Amino acid sequence: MLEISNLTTHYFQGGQVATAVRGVSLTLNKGLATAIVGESGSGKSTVAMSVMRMIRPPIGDIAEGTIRVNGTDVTAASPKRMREILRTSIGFVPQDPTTALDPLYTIRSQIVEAMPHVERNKRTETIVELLTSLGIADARDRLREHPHQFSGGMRQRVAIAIALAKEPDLLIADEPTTALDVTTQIGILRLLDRLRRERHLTTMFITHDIRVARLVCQDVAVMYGGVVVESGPLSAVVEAPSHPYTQALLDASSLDVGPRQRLRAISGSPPTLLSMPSGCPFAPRCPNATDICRSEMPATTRKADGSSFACWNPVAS
Amino acid sequence: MTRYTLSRLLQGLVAMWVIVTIVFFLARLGGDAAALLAPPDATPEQIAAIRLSYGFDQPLHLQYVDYLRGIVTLDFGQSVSYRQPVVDLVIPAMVNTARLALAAFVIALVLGVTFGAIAGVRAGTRYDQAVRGLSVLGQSVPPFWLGMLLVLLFSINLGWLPAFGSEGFTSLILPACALAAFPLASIARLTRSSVLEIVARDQTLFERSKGVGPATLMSHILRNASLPVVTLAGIQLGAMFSGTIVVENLFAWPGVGQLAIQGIQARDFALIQGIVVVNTFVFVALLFVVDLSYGWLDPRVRAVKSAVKSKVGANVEAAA
Repeated sequence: MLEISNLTTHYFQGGQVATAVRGVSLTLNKGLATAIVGESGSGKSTVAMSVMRMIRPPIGDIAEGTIRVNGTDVTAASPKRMREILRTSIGFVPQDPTTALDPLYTIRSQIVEAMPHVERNKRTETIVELLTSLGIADARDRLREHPHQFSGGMRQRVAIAIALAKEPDLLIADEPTTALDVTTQIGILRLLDRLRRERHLTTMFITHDIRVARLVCQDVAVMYGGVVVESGPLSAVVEAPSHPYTQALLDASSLDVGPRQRLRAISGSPPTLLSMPSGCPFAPRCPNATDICRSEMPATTRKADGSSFACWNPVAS
Repeated sequence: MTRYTLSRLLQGLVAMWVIVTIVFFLARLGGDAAALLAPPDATPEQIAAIRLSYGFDQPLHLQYVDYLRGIVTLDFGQSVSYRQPVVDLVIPAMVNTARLALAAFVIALVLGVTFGAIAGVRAGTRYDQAVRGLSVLGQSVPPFWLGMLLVLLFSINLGWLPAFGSEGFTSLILPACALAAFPLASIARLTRSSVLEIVARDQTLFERSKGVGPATLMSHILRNASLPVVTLAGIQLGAMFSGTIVVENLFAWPGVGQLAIQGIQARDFALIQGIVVVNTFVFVALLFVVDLSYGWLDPRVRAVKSAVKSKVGANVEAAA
């Protein structure tokens, strides 16, 4: 469905070139949800933006690699062809629906823009059906309302409706619950999971929270410093992490920390885009790091459980 | 929406009343108004005659009521220098000024928004640099100097357009261009920075993710970017209505600016007061239109009024 191979994406910052993604290869299995997990600056959003070809000069550019959506290489697509792919194949759920929806346009007109293939006289019916199925009550009466008249959770449902209006094959959700109240987060997560199952949606789920990923995803790719350090079936990776960063991430988010116990944080801070180390990006913070880690990028190793990792000194299982 | 319109209208009327009242008292705060109006060598009898003719001998509150009644009935008294009712002078002059200001405004708005929007979308390119450079120039060049250059080039050297006067459409072009330079430049600059800000917002990314064409995308960007531009454009138009003195005199354009200069030189008290009141009215009316267009452009503005009301209502109910 989605095949990313050897993707390298640059940003141009005041004459300097910042490499946000370095040689990422990733395959999303059809009908499954793949979590891309990582902290800020790990390159996880850049991967998503590269798939949608949102990074173009003068902001940045894809320097290398191919991204195949349903077999079409989007890195070679013209802007016109890319719009067609976005119109028909890729749905995008934004991080914060409050800033993503246009405050000046009605909900209806914003959804209609994403469904040009639906006949004019059937649009209202289709939108009402869609919104109702996403859990918006009195959808028909609310079509003429504007985003500010909706609550945060309802706004995200409207944004999801826009992503689904084109009936996409691929859904890209960029931290879709980060900006929401905790109470509405779980509802949106359940909704995304249901939609994936009902519509056989291949889902790319970007998150910094591996616990959220465990609720809705089957596969995972852990990113750090612009590279995928470990990937595979989520259960396999969580059960037996091989990369020290994955291990540290799981420790940091583990719930079995009692009161008055120290939280297990990862010491140090992630590398900035302009000071990326030449070897493994995690080496400066890694407890297992040796000399080779700092000078050379490790190759990817496949494991028997279907997962793979890139590390010189993997966690002993 | 109706409630919004009415509340704006009421605010406009209150603003009008406040300004008109300030004008009234300012004229009477400076001591003996009649003595101020009279020429330096006037005899006491002449000053007394002026006092009588303006009603300055009346008690202040009666003068004020008379003054307000005059404004409401469009009677600003007699112009001393022209020996005509002030209304008959100010209204035709205002029509001329409006022709000039509107022509300049259309030029400034259409070109300013176009140049600014393209510069905003193509930020950092040569085109953008050119627009930024030219708008600094446009904001710095004094209109009288620009006007003289235009006359020199298009009237004297090329002979294409008349150098002054107000006959026909051609005589409008040069003064309108001279007047348009400053607002054009400031509208272009604001549009550029506003477009730049909207382009960087999440909503533009989300809009692009729908795969919409450039025309749809641009209409979203422009409508969002227009909010601050509308305010600026309204203020600029108001300033053009009252601030055309230099250009009007340069091109011998028979507008309010010229009339005001003549009124001041002739110490024509009633005339000046009439001009100030009519200008105030035009300015307040323009701001009213700007406010209305804000409500029309931005649904959140329409909502604010009723939302505040219902919130206050809820609090009152909760307290009770």
